[in-house]
Amino acid sequence: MASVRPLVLELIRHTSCGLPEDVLDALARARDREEPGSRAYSTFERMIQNVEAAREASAPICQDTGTLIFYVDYGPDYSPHQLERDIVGAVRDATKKAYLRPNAVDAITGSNSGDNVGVGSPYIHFHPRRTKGLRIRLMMKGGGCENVGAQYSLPDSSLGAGRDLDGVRRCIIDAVQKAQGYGCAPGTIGVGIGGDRVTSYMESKEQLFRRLDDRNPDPTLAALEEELTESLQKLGIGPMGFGGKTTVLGVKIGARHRVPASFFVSVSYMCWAYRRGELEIKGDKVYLSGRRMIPAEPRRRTAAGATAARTARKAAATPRKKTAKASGAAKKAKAAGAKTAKKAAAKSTKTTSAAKTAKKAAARSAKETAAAKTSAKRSAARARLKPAPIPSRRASAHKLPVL
Amino acid sequence: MPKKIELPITESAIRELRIGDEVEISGQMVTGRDAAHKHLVKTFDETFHRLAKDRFLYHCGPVVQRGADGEWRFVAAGPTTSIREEPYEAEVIERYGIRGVIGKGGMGKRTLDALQKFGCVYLHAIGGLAVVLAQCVVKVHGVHMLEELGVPEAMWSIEVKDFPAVVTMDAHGGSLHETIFASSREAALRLMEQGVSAPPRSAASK
Repeated sequence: MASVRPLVLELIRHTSCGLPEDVLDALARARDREEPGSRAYSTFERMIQNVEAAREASAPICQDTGTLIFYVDYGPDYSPHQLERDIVGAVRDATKKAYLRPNAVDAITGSNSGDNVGVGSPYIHFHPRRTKGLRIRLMMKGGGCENVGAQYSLPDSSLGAGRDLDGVRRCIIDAVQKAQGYGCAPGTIGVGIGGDRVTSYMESKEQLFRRLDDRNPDPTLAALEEELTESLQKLGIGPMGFGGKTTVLGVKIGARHRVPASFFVSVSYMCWAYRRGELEIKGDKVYLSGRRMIPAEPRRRTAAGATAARTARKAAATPRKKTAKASGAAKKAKAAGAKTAKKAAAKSTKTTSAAKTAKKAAARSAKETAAAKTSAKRSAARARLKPAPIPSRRASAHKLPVL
Repeated sequence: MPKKIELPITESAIRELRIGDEVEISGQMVTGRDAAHKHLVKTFDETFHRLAKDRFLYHCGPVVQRGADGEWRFVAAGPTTSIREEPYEAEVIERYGIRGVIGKGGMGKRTLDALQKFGCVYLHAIGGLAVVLAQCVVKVHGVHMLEELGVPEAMWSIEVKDFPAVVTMDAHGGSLHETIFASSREAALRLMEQGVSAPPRSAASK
């Protein structure tokens, strides 16, 4: 199995430096519900601008690049040990490239590991599967919204919440109201019902891997999700808690079996900077959040001039060296014997003619890039400083992020 | 239209601001978050005092990059949750003569009282607006205690231009957060009483 480290690095960049389309659409709809010129409207407008700017610069949309939560489904053709090494390596790479902020802090000493790697960080769930291939899902959950999550143990008399769906609903309303704007509203609410303390929260997080526009397969939960997504807007908390018509982008609920004695309701709040991504490998095809990745021809679109110039320079330089070597070899060969000399000479002629063609090609491409040369130089310099941008969704829906 | 604010700023100018005002800030200010606050109340930090007096303190742990020329650059710099600094902020405002605190989520009663007493405001930046806000940071003047605190926690002295924020706590005891908390609590209780409108599981599955 080949290393997936560069692919995971790309997954991290893609996830950190943009938002999923369904989330961006929801933010645009939220903006359009507000009065133009209002505080809420300009807040949503700035959020959307920020995502565009982040994509162009390949910079994290939020400086809190959060807890890195990986869910890995791997087929028999992958080894979890190597996957772990690759993921951890990619996390180190991503931190070096500033797609991630150093976010792993020693809980006792308070020192920052500097590379996002520490005890339990990054957090990776492995799930073996029978079919070949690999799927890695990544969620980056900021600390601000993680802090407003809440777990309830029913019955809860302060809320009048019993051990039924009505009780569950009361808990969700209470959690969202108490979260105010602290978790960077409007949030998406993941809810886990049942399980134990751990798996209940886990369920609530796993719900956040769902798309905003999907439908819960359980009709009861689907109805509750829809009703709450509408009702919770009446809280009027609005973007960042400034007041407004949108308080949540969605509510996603899952249920697990519980022991008779326990009834937990866990609420995970995901900020508007809802970063989730998915890398899938099927055979030799690689998909990033549902779109085919083309690993060949890297950076052609972004620094086309630079690449062309580089190729031209290489083509011009390499054969010359080869020719020199070849003629040197020919001299040696002459002393050794005529037969080999002939061969070497033939080789040398071949390479010389190849050099000629290459030179011609180089001249041609140099001409082609002449106009773009200065900009190529500049973009080459820029490319060294910062990586290729993720194309804007609006500007180029079909352009794919490349390695 | 947002009001323009130039730093440093006087107490009387700060007292003219009211909750709900949208502002755009230009000038030199300083960042500081959890570890910095803890440090600032433990000792009197001369360097910080020089950087912060009559200026704003920004609750932010940035992502930074150092160029080949040795210049620091802010890559992502949105606000962090302010309430964590509640135990320290009133004292920091008093000791260091800060005129504004920028963060997110608002702060508590003690800070609100300090704002009123010492002539300071709380400004809410948009959380998660890391790139747009990093672009407002036009220059990094320097960094204080980078070795001891690490990148996010260090105190960065920065030059900003047209940095957008909303005044959510003013120097007159007003807090937009309290207003919205109260109205949303009422709405939440009304919603709870409405009960579940979804059909019970058994009926739905039929």
